[in-house]
Amino acid sequence: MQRRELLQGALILLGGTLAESCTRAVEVPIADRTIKTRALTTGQQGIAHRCADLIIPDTDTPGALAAGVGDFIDYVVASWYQADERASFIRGLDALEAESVRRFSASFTKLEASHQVQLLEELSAVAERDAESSWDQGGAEMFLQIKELTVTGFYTSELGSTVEREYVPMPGRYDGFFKFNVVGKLWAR
Amino acid sequence: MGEIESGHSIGAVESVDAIVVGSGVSGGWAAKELTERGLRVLMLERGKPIEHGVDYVGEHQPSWKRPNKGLRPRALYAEQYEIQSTSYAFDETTRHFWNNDAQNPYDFNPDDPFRWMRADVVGGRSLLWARQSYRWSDLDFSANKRDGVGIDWPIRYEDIASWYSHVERFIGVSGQSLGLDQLPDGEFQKPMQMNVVEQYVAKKIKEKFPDRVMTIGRTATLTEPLPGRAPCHYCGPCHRGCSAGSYFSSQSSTLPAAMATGNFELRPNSLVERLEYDAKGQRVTAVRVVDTESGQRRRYAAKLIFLCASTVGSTQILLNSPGAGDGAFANRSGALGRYLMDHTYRAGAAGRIPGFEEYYPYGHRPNGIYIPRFRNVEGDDGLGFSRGYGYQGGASRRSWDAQAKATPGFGADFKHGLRRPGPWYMRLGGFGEILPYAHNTMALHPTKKDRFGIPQVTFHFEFGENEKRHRQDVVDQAIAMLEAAGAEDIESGAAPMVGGDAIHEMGTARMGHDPDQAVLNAHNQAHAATNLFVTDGACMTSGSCVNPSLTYMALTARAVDYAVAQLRAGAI
Repeated sequence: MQRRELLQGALILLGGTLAESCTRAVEVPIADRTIKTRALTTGQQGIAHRCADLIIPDTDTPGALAAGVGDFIDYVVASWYQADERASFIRGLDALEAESVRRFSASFTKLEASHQVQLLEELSAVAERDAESSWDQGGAEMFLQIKELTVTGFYTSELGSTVEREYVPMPGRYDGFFKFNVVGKLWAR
Repeated sequence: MGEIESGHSIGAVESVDAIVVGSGVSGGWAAKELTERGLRVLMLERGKPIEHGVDYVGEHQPSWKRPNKGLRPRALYAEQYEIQSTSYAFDETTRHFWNNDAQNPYDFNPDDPFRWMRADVVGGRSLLWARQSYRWSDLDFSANKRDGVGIDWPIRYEDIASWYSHVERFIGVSGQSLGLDQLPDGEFQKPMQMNVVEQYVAKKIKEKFPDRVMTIGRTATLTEPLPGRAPCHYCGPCHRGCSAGSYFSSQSSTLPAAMATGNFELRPNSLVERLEYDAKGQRVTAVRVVDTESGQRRRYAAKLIFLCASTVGSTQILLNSPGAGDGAFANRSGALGRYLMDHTYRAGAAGRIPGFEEYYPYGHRPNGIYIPRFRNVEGDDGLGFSRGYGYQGGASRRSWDAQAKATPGFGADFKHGLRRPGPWYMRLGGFGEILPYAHNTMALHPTKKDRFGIPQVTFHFEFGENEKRHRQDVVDQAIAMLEAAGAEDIESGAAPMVGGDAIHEMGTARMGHDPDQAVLNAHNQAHAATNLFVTDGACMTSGSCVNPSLTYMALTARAVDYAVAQLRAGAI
């Protein structure tokens, strides 16, 4: 199995089979499933939110942070992630911060955008294009986690569903020959 | 009505004409047909009440208004819904319809798994079903006799054809007439539309394989109005409930019809534990019920009993109902609990169809395509397996979440790249006939009991060579048809087979002429008890490869017609 395929195992919100996520839930001791109101330090939270902002930025439409993805990430990491998933996420955030300080002598959130993008691109290359990295240390797993959180949070949000996409709760008919250019957007579900 | 076991009356002890056990597709039909013939009916349903419309809490709920940010509470599902949560239709919008596996368990053995998918509400699985509605043909009814497998069905297509029509006209089935002997046409509302790619693939398949036809699914979802029910508005997830009544459920259709007669009473939270039997009179004399809220036991009596508690539910009751000697009164044949069937499932292929990129369907069609059986139709095709399979599937553009997963990178380009729909994919999955084997069984566990002291059900289910062989053909022919349609990047496969997975469980109280071989006669009447009828999936003598619910409904209506005539003639 390619490293990339191994990493794809990090996808759990919408990816993977239900049976797998159920099995995982059973394996986690009850004590580790208690809801935490806060799982990230202020610094870690800032990095996570900035990553979401870089993954789906404001463009001609609002981006992830405007759609409330920050809250979504906080909720999932604190209340929905199991202990091992949370630990993996935090380890990756810390790795990203450590590399930021080592290479640019500043915290990730204080870097110029181009440097932030550069670091994330290196993690994306490891996670999605089988590249090697000397500093990864779990950062690639975290990249896939934060990307999945951002994508899911954004496209299931009200803003993502109604502004970025077209939400039609009662279509009233089915047209299997409908032309994309008539709507020009994806249907939200 | 009814009496508490201790003998204390709970009000006027009133007799009813008929008791119907279960409120799903079969029970709903029994209640409608019995009450419309003037009989006073009491329906006993183990599940909680669900009021049409009011209790469809997930209906039209947008993603951003779902609890838990729309995410599945994994730990809860693993602990309390281990079996039910494996269904595509199980999530927080539907969880209140389903059985709680921790509260109402059965003996699930991971080394010999059988998935018993159960609703636990009024309406049963009629709220959750996939609505595909196909008639059986004489190819099916004569299959056991022709192959020498199992026993012969005591009926043929001509015995049930008019009842199919009766049911279809009332429930509303949309579909396309094809004139095929192996899949008889019905009383159809106008068909739903196949989309641009499905029509293209259908044409390509027909060119390469003249004996195969791809049609739109025949579905109990309205395309034309019926009294009190609106045509489909194409919102998509039917299983959350439909307050417009556009798909057939007991709530939308049969229960209101029964209610309208004034002859109907429904008792939810009423779990039937067993039947009491008078061996001398060959009659069921009482139905014993546990009130699931209070735990109190009650007995009810009626002239007619219709057992419609689902395949496994009905046979569980019968296995727990003793006769004069050892064992269950209905098991003189030894067939009770045996010949359990399902359909093979989760085998097939999918491929990318190039082009058609300007098309992006509007509306969420709650239906797919169907390719009727084409194997062993005219005789034995010499393929190393008997009987056959049909395909269900459809063409759609790749979903946004799959598209996002397949798109590397991040940033503005990533975001804008996700604004176009993904490529078209055509999927074909087979449903195949499983032969009736004596060793495929459900039984009462010798020691494990539920919270009311009722023995739990345990299963043993294995697939035979015939199923393994037809399943390989399902995969091979799906690939061949996709190739004929010019598909690229074809992915195929067959997941490990698990009994119950198709949720088409059938058999365990089969019909047959001979009381030494069958539990029920040609009218779904118990050989052992003239006033007992079993009309759900338990009655099935073989399995066909088409979705079975329509046949249960037709058999139920036919059995009621017979039972009431016999009652009036003094023969019951």
